[in-house]
Amino acid sequence: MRVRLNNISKEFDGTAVVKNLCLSIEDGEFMALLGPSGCGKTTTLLMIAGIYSPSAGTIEFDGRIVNRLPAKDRHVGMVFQSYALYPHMTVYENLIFPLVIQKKPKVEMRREAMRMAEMLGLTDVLDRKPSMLSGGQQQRVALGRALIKKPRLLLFDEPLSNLDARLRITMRAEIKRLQRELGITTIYVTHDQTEALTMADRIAVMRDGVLEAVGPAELLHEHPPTLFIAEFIGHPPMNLLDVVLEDHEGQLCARLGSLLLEVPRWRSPQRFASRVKMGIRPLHVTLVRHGGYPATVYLIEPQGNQDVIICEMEGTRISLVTTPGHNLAMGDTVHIEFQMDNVYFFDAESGKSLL
Amino acid sequence: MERLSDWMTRIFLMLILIIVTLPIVLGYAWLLISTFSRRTFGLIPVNARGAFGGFTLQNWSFLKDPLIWQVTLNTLIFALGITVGVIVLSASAGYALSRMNFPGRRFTLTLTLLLHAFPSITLLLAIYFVLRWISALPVIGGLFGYNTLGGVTLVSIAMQLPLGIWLMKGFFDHVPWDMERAALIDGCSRFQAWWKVVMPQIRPGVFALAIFSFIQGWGYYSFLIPYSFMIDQTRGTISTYLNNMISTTSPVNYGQVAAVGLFQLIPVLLFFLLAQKYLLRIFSGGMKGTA
Ligand SMILES: Nc1ncnc2c1ncn2[C@@H]1O[C@H](COP(=O)(O)OP(=O)(O)O)[C@@H](O)[C@H]1O
Ligand SMILES: [Mg+2]
Repeated sequence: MRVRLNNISKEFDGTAVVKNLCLSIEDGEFMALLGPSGCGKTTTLLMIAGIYSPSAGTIEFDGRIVNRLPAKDRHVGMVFQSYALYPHMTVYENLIFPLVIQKKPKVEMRREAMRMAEMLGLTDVLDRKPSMLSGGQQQRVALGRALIKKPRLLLFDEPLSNLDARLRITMRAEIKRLQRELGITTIYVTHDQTEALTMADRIAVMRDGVLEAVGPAELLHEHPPTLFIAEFIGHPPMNLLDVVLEDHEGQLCARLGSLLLEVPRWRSPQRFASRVKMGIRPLHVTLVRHGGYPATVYLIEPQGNQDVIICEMEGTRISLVTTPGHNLAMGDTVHIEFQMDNVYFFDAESGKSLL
Repeated sequence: MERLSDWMTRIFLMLILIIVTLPIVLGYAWLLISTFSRRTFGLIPVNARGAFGGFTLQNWSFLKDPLIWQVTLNTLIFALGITVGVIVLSASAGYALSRMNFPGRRFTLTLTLLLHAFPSITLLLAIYFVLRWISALPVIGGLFGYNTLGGVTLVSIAMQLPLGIWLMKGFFDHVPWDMERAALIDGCSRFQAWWKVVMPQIRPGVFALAIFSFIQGWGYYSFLIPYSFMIDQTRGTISTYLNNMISTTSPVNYGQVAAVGLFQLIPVLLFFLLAQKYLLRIFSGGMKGTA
């Protein structure tokens, strides 16, 4: 099913929580809605589900405006962060609940529940109450309950945030595989960029109720259109440095304190901005033996296969990624080099990319 | 050493509890003993000459009076009516106050709390006029007017409602929004979501309120309201029957009064024994998620 949000807004008691959101999701697409908590993701999802009605704008399912369609008639399945399982029912009763409401025949309920239980590995716990299940199992029951009525649209609201790290990775893969197999249009809300990057076809980034950008993960990662996205997507986060752009005999340079960094022509800002921030990913800052610029090691974060080193230079902190085994200690002096082929420039005021 | 001090504390606590509950226990003991005695001297049953003895079943002879069974039935109807009325009305109002946003919501909440604290006795006169007015209506007047069981039930329900609504709202507040949303998305109408998903979560709370209302109806409300607004003996409750007994027979046979009192007390005591676990919820206010 194709979903279109046309300029939707939502106000609670006069406070706008979602502002003029336009987004269209293609049939069978996996769309992630990414943003820090409190930015209006859940509100947006609940509007799509039919729990809230938008204060302005329209929601279209396959070209049909559904603003006034009650939730029960929208053919939507939703998985909540809290799972929202019915504690007074067994796993089996939870699974078939949507079919019970639809007054489906008993045999069909049984068949569908068995199919779901098998697919999700719940056959052994069908008679248990949700409170007797592990977090991962509860998650599966919630997923099964959302899937059993064969929804045309699947909504996830931070479904993995209550699971431990290992389980999260397993479930991530499982949800993605299921979505691919069933081909159900999916909107997946998360504040975890890794989830969004690994699972979604496209990512819609929200900030303070406003849609910042939409696009495939690589695009947002390689060409962040705004400062916010540059900072939010990518791990470890991009270094954002206050620089002054200067012209030195035809060569554009970025001045960082007393340092002068040459900017390659094809990375030069296309527009003028009075205050500029230069972005460079930690991966593109390297330790060198000779030359480079001196910096003091501030903190070392070993991450197993790599170390993140945060160093101080010219009064700012810069993080860089390096292979382990450098034997550095806090306070050591290192020499670093910026790979200027990979820098970004942003207007510090508007936050827009200058590239 | 620690063991010993533990024991000391325990014994000390026991002693305090015993001392505090002693008057109550003695009261009940007296009640029980005096119903089977001609006279008592303190807790000791005595005969006419003041010696130990004088046991009798005379005091329970009221059980042969058809009127007692009539008023018992009345009391039962009265208490059940209150229970059903309070539950249905508080469940609806409590749900609305907990879940819906409507003009006057805050005001209603405040008013509910105020009314709960308001001494209902001060309303008796006003209620008299209301019941009189209802009496003048055709059909309804005969059912819910002055001097009818329906009327006094209605008044008692009204008196119990503020507490009921407030408690119910508290119970509903504990049910997560997401659960209700899930129900709506799973295909429920608003009413189905309420009935199939929300209500079962708060069943223990509802149960507690029901028992509480019944006991209140059986005991507390069954005197003042029927006494004020009912003239007919046959329409009265056990409490008014008891009152009648005290005010019409002279000298008052306290043994018999005690017997009727005990008779009225039996269902309440049974209820308390069976349901004290639930009743605690009323006082602890609300509940944790139940499996
Ligand atoms: N029902 C509501 N009434 C009032 N304010 C709300 C309601 N739901 C959400 N909000 C507010 O809207 C903002 C966005 O909430 P939400 O959509 O839950 O954010 P997210 O899911 O991105 O964390 C928050 O500031 C929250 O306090
Ligand atoms: Mg949320």
